[in-house]
Amino acid sequence: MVFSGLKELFQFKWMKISAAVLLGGLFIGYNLAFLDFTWIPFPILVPYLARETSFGYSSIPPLFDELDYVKYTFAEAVVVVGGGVLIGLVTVGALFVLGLSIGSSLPAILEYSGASIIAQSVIFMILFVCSLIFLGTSGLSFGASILHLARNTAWKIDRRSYDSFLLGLLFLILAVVVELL
Amino acid sequence: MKNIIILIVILLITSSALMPQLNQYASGQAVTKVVVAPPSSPVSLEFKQIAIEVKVVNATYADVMMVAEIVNPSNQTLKYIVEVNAPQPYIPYPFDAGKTIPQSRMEIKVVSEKIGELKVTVDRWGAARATGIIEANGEDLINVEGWTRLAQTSRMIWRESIEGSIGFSIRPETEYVGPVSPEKTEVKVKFTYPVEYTKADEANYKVEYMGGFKVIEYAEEFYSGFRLPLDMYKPRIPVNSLVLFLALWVVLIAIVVWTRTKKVER
Repeated sequence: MVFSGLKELFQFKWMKISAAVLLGGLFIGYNLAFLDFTWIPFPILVPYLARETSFGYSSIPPLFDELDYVKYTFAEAVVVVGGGVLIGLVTVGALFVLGLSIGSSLPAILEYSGASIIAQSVIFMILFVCSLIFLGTSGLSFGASILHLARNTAWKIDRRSYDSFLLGLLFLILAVVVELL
Repeated sequence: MKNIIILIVILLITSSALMPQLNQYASGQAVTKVVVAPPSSPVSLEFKQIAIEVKVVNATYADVMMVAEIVNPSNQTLKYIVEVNAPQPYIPYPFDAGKTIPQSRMEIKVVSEKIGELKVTVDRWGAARATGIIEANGEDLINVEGWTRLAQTSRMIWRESIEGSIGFSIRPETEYVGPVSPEKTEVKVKFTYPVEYTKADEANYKVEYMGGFKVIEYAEEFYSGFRLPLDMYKPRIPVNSLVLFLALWVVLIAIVVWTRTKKVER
């Protein structure tokens, strides 16, 4: 039952769109940072990853602690899922920018950090990316429902939206736990 | 014409009315005199000659040396401070901050020809300081020798750079008394660094090669102090991120090829 539910979720079109936007941003961010295009300080949007990559960015706030990391991570998840109310436009933008941020943080971590920091950052990144994809799916589906309501005066939401929201929340909690380790 | 005559008359009347007041100001009767004390002449050191040598051995270590011949032109004994400042490293916040500030980032020995070795203190920000005394109308030769750690302050993927500067200073131990014209002397600088590095402004100097090192020599102005900029870089191959970069592109190409093949089959 769980596997069939997951299979259904993976076939959900909003899941594909959410993953494509986030991973596309991540791909672009990684490539730009790898090629030393560091003129846009995207890494600071995910300060947990930026703590290792913040060299040369004067705009970075001077102090971040564990509470700030949790606050930022949670706030980003809220924007991704809550952005659905504006027919998913905010969700799409947030997914792309966060993908860029995560991707552009990675090269410096891989090059200059120790093995344990690399491992911790990569695990966090995987969990956070999964969380954002699922929450993005939920947000986009919610946005589509609002659009549907505007056109047809009837509320219709796919049950897979709830599944993706719950899964996104689970991955978000796991990502926060890794941040606090 | 009539208007002009009226204007001239008005101006004449006005100027004659103001005359008594102007005369008062001129004679100084109505004006309170402000007596300005003559500025106390700041005690300063004079430099007969200064030479600085810095040898960057690798990305984290440099030897430093300074020789200064100083003169006290005043009629009173003068305390002076010799200071060397190490480049500031980046301090990651917040968890590793304590770990990454080393206890001592430089070791400096300061020797005065007249009074011998001076006691040096190094603070946590990497400033080594020694205090000496020079007698009235006296001369002294100060020798500074030691090493300092260097720090990379920005993280480029394809470049390793050494940034920041090393500061040298010899100045009287007096309070700041206001803007004074500083004594300037020419300082001879000899800067040595590994051949694999390129200095940002290398093209401006004549570079000599000596056993795996580049040497540049030039003269600058020394206003009781001098900061030697280190800014240099060398290329690097980013092995770890290159692997992921290639993996991402392989996956992308594989997806494109697979999708294209599938569509052709249809």
